Amino acid sequence: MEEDYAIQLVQVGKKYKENASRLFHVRNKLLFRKSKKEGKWSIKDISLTIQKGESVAILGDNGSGKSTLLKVILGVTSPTTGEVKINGKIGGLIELGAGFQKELSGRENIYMNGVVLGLTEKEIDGIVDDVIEFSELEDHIDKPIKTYSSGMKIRLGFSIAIHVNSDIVLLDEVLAVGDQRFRKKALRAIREFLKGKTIVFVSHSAHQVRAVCEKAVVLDKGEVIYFGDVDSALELYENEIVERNDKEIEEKNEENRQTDSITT
Amino acid sequence: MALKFWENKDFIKTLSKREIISKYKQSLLGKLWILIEPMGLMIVLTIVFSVFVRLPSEGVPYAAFLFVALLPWLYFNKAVGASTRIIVSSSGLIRQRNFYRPALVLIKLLSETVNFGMTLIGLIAVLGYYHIVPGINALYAIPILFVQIIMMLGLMFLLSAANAYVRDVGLVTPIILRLGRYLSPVMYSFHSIPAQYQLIMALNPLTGILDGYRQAFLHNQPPNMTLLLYSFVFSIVIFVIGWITFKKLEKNFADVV
Repeated sequence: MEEDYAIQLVQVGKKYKENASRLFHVRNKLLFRKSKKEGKWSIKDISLTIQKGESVAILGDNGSGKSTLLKVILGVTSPTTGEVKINGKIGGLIELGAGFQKELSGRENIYMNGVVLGLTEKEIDGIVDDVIEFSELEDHIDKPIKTYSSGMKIRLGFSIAIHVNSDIVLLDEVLAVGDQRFRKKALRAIREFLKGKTIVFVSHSAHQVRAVCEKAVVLDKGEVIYFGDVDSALELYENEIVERNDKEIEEKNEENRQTDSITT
Repeated sequence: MALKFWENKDFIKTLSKREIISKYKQSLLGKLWILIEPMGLMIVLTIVFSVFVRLPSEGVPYAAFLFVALLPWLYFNKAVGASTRIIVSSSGLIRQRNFYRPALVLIKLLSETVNFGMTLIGLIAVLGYYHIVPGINALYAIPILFVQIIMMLGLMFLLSAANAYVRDVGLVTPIILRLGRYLSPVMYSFHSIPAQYQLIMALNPLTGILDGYRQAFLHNQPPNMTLLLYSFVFSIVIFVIGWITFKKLEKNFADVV
């Protein structure tokens, strides 16, 4: 029963320090000292369990901590507080176009990304043709990455992410760019290739979220305000956004009116 | 630690191979550059220090005398000099994937070691030209190289991790290395400097290493063990410091690159 979870977060928080204190940050790290300077909590006290085979969307405004949450799950950055438990092999695409070596060809980069994800060269030999075919980059695959457009890089990155066999797949706004046709194809691929896998999906498109996920997390200012059924999550998120944005606009108008009356 | 490296051997192998390929990809002469640089330096320095200004060279032709220490120095210089960029230049991979970070340092070391191995062709050519045949004591070069590599690895771990957080490290390192070239017995002999300064010179941990190569290769003598022991202890200390620093800082590389 205990082994059923794929991702478990226990009271996870991540605080980013101010840039200027970097040097002290290093010193404190080395001396086990706690930094006195306050930073900004990007995510705070997040407890979350994602079961095996679930597909979960993360919803939230820019700056609500979505990317930080994904990074903590992926393990590229360590949480300041709490604990992250991962059960299974984790992969995915979290920063578009990153992770490629510019001077090397697309094909070489497939190998580089593959080994970084824990495959051997032989295993990559087995999937490389599929990756190239799916990305539709047959004509460019032996040219250096620096000649690729951003759309091409995303196609390649996405194609690698779905062909590498991992139990947990993190996808951060992978469908936000690229042309309409590839987006459709990618969405279909997520549903077909990643069936039965644990998916964590970040997107601003309600349509895509509904198509991919059953459940959703709503993040606000680094905290989880809802975790459950995707439809109610979307409703909550949209209502909240609409409401808050409206309020902010109103407040601004109010301010403007006041300054206007003062000047006149 | 060695076990961890072994677990990641596929990763290290594939990335080292690509590192070596990508470096010379867009150059006409490709791998020849590895040999052109030390050969060019040797010719210029030999003209300057054996024709224009005569430097004592332990009774050996200057070119051979120079090369035996210059090549290991260039190896040290290249690997340590490039180490500050290891983490910063892999920012894409680091932000994307959670892989075994120390592998990046090892990859750099491996690719520089391969290059160093190729420059040894130049050494063989030079020694052959002057009919210098190394004796049995040349085998001392192996433990000396081992000491050198430990020291390089320690510095590489330290500098790569530190520069990820504080970019000044990457600006200071080349300056120190340039000073190091003059303060180490590369272009001159450790034995030809005035006796009262030899003790100060001996504080440089590279002195024992570079002089050791010369003793072993050119004079068929064992290296000065006191100097070499000092270098060895220094290497171990710097390695431990480098490793601990790297392990402490690696967790949040993704936040700072």
